[in-house]
Amino acid sequence: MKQYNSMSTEALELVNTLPEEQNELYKKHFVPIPLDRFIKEIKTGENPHEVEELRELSNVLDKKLGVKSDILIGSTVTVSQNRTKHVKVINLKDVTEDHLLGKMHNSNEDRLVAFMHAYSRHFVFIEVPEGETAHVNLLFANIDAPLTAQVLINVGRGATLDLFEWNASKTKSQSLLGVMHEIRLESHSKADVNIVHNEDNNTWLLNHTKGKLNDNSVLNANYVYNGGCNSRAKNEFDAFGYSANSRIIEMIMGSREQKFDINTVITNTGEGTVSDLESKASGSNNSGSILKGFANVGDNARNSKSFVNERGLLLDKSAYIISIPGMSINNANVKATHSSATAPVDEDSMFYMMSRGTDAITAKRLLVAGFFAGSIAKISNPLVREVASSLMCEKINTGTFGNIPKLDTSALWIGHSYGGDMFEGHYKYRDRKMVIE
Amino acid sequence: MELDIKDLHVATVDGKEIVKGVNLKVKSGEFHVIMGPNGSGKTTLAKAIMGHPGFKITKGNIFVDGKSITSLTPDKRAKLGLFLQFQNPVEIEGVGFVNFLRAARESITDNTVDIKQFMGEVRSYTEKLAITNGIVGRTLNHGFSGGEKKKGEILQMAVLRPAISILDEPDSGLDIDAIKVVASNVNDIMKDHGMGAIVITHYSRILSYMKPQRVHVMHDGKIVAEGGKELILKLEKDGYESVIKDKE
Repeated sequence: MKQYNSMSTEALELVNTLPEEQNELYKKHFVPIPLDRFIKEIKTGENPHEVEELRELSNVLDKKLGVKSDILIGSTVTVSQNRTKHVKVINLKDVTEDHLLGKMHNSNEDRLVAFMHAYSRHFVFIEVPEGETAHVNLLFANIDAPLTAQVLINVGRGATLDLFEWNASKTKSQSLLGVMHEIRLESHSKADVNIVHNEDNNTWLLNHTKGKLNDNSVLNANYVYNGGCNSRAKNEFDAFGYSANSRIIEMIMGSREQKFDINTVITNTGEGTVSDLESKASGSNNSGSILKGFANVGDNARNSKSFVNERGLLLDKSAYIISIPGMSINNANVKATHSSATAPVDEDSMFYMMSRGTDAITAKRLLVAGFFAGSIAKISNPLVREVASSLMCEKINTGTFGNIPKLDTSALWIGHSYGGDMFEGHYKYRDRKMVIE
Repeated sequence: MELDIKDLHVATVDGKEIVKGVNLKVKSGEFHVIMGPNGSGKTTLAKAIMGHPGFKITKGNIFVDGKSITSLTPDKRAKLGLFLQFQNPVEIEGVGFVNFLRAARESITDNTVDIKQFMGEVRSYTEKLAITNGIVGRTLNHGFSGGEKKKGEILQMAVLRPAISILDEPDSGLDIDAIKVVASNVNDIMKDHGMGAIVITHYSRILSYMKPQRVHVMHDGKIVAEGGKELILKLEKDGYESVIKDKE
């Protein structure tokens, strides 16, 4: 671990200042995370009470939303509920260089990664061997202490992974949840990575994902940022193999002075690759979001396609959403577009909806649901769609986050203009046998 | 239900007066028509009745069953039984038509909708209105043709069952067959549910399929002439100028 720790001091400094970022707007609005404060609070011993807390959280998640977690990861303990051959969890004290060899990035330029390597408390290894299929549900919860973890994913040739990750917290004072994901997709493999953040208002969130895609592999990464007081995410996806395809969806729902700093880079390194980043944020009640999406097209990325699409919806005048789309194109034979638009809720739309009897909150809920609907519909896992809808409805109806909401799929009931199988596997669809033609 | 508009003056938020003293009384089951040339204030009157935030009432009042509604938000006015069919319904991408209609019905009735029954009702009106591409699964007015938008508005009116509806140009942009379909459905809804209606229109064509009891002509923010069906014939024959001149 020494080689990683050696970079940590410098990393700590840079996580707060990020001098490598050149964009002035970003430098002005990025969310600094006071890591030096939280590092001191990372526990080395185990708190046995956490096991009970994690199990309770998992039970409520199952009961309310139907999410069955396989592995529960707390600040100091981990619990395996359902044995799955594809997942192995190793504590910091037991991890060796051999465990990490070839699975972790180790770049001097990537100081955030270096930091996360240096201070990770838990290591979750997900290995899907060639040709196999795995479904893994993880539950992370920082319980009265910082939680720092890494999820190292390797999807073998022709293998498929469906990962669902719920990030929660149970804290009495300010704390940190930091999770890093390293995803490697071998050729012809496919991964759906669904990460939902619903931490409480005491929690600072640090998220980092690094994805590498081999030939003809497909990555669908869907992020729902709903919880936490201050969130900072830096995600990088590199489609470096021939015809690799990455589609990234980010949905940010800001409220109650929450701050989100979502910085994502999609890179097309290989020939015939496709990278598509769709970031959407809604904001109210003094919340602020910065969406920095960047498409990087390499020298050899002939016939590649890159899309960066950022959208913001302001629900009141107190919130702000700043979008900074960018591109760097180093091959002439590519298709690349980027766009950005942020607007307040349309007064005429509100009047129209209210004139039919819907109150202002319901009208806003429908508008927000409509705003995110296109993105949610692209998520293949129906459970994730339902969870996203439930969180969205809870936030608009009650203004709260951090608790597990009741199942509310009303925002999903939009029909098949976004695809005929929108309702497949849906609770409403299953329970009521309602076929929406 | 009785809608009673008394000496109503309406201005835009920047102070331009558009409606300049309108008096109008409509009861459930009654059929009124407001006609008038472009820019006479008909649509502003309709929006003001429904509580559009872009307009302010500078004088006068609007009563429903004797109580002033001018301080009520549009949703509360709808819950009282008012409905506005928009001349140009807004397109709201991502919001399902049926999902929205269900939310509106639940808000108005304060009851949870039985989905199966509700869907049956929606399908039945979709057929009656000859909306050939259907409504289920489509987003609110988004991608609708002009005719579909008008029919979609009538469908909402049918499902929400208001006591008094203001129909702002239900005929504009419709072909002859579609005008007949819309008129016939409005007639049926009035008959079945005892709904009152105020139809705003420029042309008499749709009125040949309907039986209005009272006709009002608006000009420059005021009602300048009133009468029965004979007034429509006069307008058709001599144009608005004749009626406006008579008044002057």
